[in-house]
Amino acid sequence: MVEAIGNGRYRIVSDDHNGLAYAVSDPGPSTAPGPGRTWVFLAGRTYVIESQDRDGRGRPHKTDDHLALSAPMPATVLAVKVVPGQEVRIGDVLLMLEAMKMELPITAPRAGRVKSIECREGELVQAGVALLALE
Amino acid sequence: MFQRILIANRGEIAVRIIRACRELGIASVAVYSDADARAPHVLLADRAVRIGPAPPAESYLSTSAILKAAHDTGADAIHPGYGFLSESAEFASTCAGAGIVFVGPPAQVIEQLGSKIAARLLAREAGVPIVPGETPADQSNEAIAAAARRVGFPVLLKPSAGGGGIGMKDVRDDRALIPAIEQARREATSSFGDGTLYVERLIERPRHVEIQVLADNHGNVVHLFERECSIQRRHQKVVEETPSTALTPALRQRMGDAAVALARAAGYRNAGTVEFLLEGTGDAASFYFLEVNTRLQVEHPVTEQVTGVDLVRSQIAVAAGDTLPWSQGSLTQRGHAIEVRVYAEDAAQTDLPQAGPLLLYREPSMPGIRVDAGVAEGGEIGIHYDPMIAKLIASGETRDVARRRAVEALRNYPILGVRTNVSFLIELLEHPRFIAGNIDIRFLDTEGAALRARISTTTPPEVAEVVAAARLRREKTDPWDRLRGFRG
Repeated sequence: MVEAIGNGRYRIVSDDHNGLAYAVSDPGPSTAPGPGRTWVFLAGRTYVIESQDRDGRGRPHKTDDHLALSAPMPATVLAVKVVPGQEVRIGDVLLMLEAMKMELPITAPRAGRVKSIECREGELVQAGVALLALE
Repeated sequence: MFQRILIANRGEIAVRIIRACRELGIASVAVYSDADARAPHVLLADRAVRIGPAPPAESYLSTSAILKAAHDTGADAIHPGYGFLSESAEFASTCAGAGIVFVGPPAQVIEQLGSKIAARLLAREAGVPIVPGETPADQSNEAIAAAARRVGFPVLLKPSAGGGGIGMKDVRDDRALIPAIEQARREATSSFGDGTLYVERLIERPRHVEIQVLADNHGNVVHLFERECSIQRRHQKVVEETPSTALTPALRQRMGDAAVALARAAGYRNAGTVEFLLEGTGDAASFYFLEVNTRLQVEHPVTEQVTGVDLVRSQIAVAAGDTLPWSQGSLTQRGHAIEVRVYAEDAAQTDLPQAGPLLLYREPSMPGIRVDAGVAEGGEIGIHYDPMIAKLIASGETRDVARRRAVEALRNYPILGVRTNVSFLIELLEHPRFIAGNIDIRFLDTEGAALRARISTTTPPEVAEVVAAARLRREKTDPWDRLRGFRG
């Protein structure tokens, strides 16, 4: 049994586990539909539970390219290493990002031709936003 | 004593220094970038001055912006904290030129100890052991082999012109020596265009043990014992403790004496840390000088917990010209303290830093626990600065009491909205090798994967129930969610 006791706290009473959990919903970007993710802390571990109905509302399916060619976290674009039309091989460094004093290379997930570049040097980019596209 | 101190830093260390100022009756001036306008250090200080946009180069590293803030507020001293400008000789000398006391050593001391070569020379002159090594003037195979025998096996052959581990060869015995020299020379020539080799003793699986020193302006130097910081990755420390499980009273005294001798030779002032590599444990161990950190260390609280000395307060007192109030003989270690650094990172995956909002953040409060943090619920871990969220320091009569307290505190330290290494730290503190004190600087390289595997467990059924309850509550328009909505 789980009882909400306020201020993000939840009391758990069961046969083998009594304890206190903390939970909060992540409002996420205001443009995204649905309640987003729920974060739960229980006994020293954090669980991030994605909302099921969010996907059910037809959120655009992310391709492998999209995942590979987007910023993994909010970051600053340090350098754009390619130009549109350029042929790249798998593993080529396309962009350098900087976040939290660390440089993060964005590499080509496959061979191909650079279709477009969606960011510029010095720009602050958000997590999950595509930075360039391959043909 | 000073009237007003400007703190040229942010986050937990700025909060720590502001609190020390409060206790001493000194007014505090915080500085902040646009990213930190509502950060705890800004809210806590008596005054706060905006010094620029979020990127550190335009704010926390801007000497001109910080000195202007100091002049505008009438600050008579600047405490640099750690990182940023704390080890900049130029900044220290600019402060001195502007008639503002820099809370730290004089500029020329920072400069000398900041140079690896000059610091090593100084250590040798002061009789402090350094890792045996030489660049043979004669670079023939035979001369390099003779140097290797003088240095003692195992040896490391390094390109003199190199860096970053490229072209380094370890050699364990005489038979492998000549082929290794030839190969190292070829690699050095092809990588750096210079085949000159440096021969150094290879220290295998050393521990990182450092000695805290404190010196006043009147010739008094004391040490405040050791901190063991072997649990690190990518040169970033994760767990620090004192006393070290590797030290005996005799070894502690030898290392402490060496650190004090070096500080004296350097004309050191204020708080500093002499870092050593320790090979072996106990009376038979050897230690080698690594470098001096000419500032307050992140891990200073473990020393404070065990010695009872407030290091930040001491730094300010010494900078104001006070005499150290203790002699070496009056300083003691009592009990044990362990610090863990709580980072915003995805510890289960790759330990890449994470940014995000602190949707829920509750610090544990229990016996023997101190949390030094510069964040608050509703705040944010941004991308411009270090991903450290807080330091949790546990102390107790014994190492095991401190360790258990740290585990219990971490189990009651909910941080939601950004991924953290809290569960990783719990597993680390429960690792049999950590419990036994059997650690070295390769610990996280060898055990990290196993620790990561242990935290990637299945989700217990209670979590689904909590999620359901949380969503139900949200649909009923939980006032907390409404409040959060106002963040925009």
